[in-house]
Amino acid sequence: MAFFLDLTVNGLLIGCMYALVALGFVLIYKATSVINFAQGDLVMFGGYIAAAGLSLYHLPLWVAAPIALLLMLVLGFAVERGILRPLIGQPVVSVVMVTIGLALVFQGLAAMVWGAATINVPLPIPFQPFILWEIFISPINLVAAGLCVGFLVGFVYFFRRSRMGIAMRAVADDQQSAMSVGINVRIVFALSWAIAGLASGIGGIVWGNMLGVDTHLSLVGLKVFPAVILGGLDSVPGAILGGLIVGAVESVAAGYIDPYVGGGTKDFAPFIIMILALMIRPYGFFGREIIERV
Amino acid sequence: MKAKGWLAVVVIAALVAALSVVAADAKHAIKVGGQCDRTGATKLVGVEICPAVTDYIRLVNKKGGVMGHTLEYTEIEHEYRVDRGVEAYERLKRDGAVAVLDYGTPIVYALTPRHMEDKIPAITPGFGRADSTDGEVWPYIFPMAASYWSQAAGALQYIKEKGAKKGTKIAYLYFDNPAGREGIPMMERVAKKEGYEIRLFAVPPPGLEMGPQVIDITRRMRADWVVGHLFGRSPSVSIKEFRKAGFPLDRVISLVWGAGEADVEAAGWDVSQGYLGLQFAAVGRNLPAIQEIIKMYRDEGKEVPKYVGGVYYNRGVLIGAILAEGIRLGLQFGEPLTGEKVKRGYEQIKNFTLGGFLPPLTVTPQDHEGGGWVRVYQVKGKEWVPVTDWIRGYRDEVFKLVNEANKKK
Repeated sequence: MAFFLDLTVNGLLIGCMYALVALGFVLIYKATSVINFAQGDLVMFGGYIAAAGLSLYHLPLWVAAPIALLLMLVLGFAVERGILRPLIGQPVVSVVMVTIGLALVFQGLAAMVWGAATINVPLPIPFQPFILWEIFISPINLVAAGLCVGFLVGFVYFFRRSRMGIAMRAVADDQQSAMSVGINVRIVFALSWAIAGLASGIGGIVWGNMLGVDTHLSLVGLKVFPAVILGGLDSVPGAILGGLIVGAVESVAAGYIDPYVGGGTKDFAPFIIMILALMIRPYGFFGREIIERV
Repeated sequence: MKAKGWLAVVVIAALVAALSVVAADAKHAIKVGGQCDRTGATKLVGVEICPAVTDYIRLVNKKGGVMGHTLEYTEIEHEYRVDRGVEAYERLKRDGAVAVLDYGTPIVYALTPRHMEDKIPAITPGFGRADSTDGEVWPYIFPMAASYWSQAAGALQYIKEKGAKKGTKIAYLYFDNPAGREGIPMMERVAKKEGYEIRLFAVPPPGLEMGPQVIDITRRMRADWVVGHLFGRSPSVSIKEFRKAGFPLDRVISLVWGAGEADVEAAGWDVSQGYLGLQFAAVGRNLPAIQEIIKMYRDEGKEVPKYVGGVYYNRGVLIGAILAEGIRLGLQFGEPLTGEKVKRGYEQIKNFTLGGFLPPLTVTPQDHEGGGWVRVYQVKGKEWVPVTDWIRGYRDEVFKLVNEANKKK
């Protein structure tokens, strides 16, 4: 039982971090209907900026982290403004190809600027675990999950209570209607990308601390897809739930099935769940069910 | 003849002389080559090992080459991909290379039949196929440093010396590719012999996450020791995961490709204190060959790269030195040099230490591994510190396994 709880709790803590990455994805999709295949690469880029500040330029954390978050906010904004906006009205496939191209550009650029080596993101948090009812919990996992939950709560509050948040929800519901009541849709688009950039920056810092930063870090973004499909492509609570489910499922599956199949369960278990979800409930737990008359 | 005419004759004669010198130099150049990986899955290693090989060859040439012959080394990037590795070898062969470095276990497996057919020897220091230790079965493959079987045996020897006994639990955490799987038979063999309880834990590439495996090792299995055979991104991730699980890192011993500065740097030196790793070449700058390279850089007015003297850099120097030594000994069999002569040259290597750089490397037709020596290092402070002398473990078991494997072929 302790083993099961260990796997589940640690999986859920990791799942909080998946949820954060998934949130960026959902936000962009919800506001702009763009599926951002560069989400993992944004996380990687955020990690690189933080790692460079801390490990290469030896800035204190209180300087390096805000700089990384600010730059990621600006980057998200710039991507929308400079690359996505001119594509409004173009076929979906063009936009998809652009985000795939962006992913590769981010990877190449990061390797060119910061080199091939994996860079650490040192945070002043101990690695030594503490034991809670037989469950080993690492402070770094807990802090990372706390940071992610904090951001998610803050974002949900902003989304539900602030004027701009309400404007974002209106745009997400119906762009035409939102425009007709005077909402500046362009600003909402840019803000969505900027917030997604910010979420990626936080994701980059925490994932970078857990795994180190190099171009492989973008693979974390792959977990976004099962998470958002499970939760619903356009649902913020769905992204959170999807992230938690993916984290727990992969951890428990790896713990119990790996010994029999030799390993690797962790990587495909979330995708099996994703396929099942698509077959049973294609719009996810909280996704909007779009009904069209034909 | 008028002055102008004489001048023309002198100019033409000078040109002819110059061209003949160039031609003579070209005639003396010996072509060697190697694959490398500065951008692929194991780029952490490649970015240090690749420049080290070229640095050493450059040093040899600056000192007059090998018995007056310049070494013309061609490096081909292959991203640790089998198709590109094969393509690289074919290119080197086409261009007349008489000795090559094969880089990466899956690539060594793919290229072995070609080496046998082409009679061009490949060195595979610290990776490749362990059964090629027997040079009578695999005459053109030279591991030249501890194979994965010898590495596993060395790690288990260390564990035994640290008090392991019947019932000791050992987890083998390995990268799930041909290289990672290579050590399994040796681990299982020694575990059976000593009565250890062993469990295997695969880490699928690229080894970015291994939380559940580590929880399983530390909580369900409750392992006493972990032997890690990870590389690329995964060693640093494993270090962090074991720390997060509260497992003592002085009970985690890595085979050679998870024991570099880059691996520890990526995890953080403070986080990695106590982590153990095997080496088959010395570490540090205080070695004659490394000092010569440093001097070469300074003489050229260049800044000495930070990685010079590091774990993976020094292994690249070992590769360059073995190539040069094989060529030197191969030339004793007469010119022009061929792959067959280089192969015979390699088999003449005796007590080759490169000034304390290596354990006494002695290669024979029966032992292309050169002894199978390793040394255990530990992360202390901000460096890898040796905690044993050069050791060999279960040598008889290694050879039994080699023979059994080769009989099956």
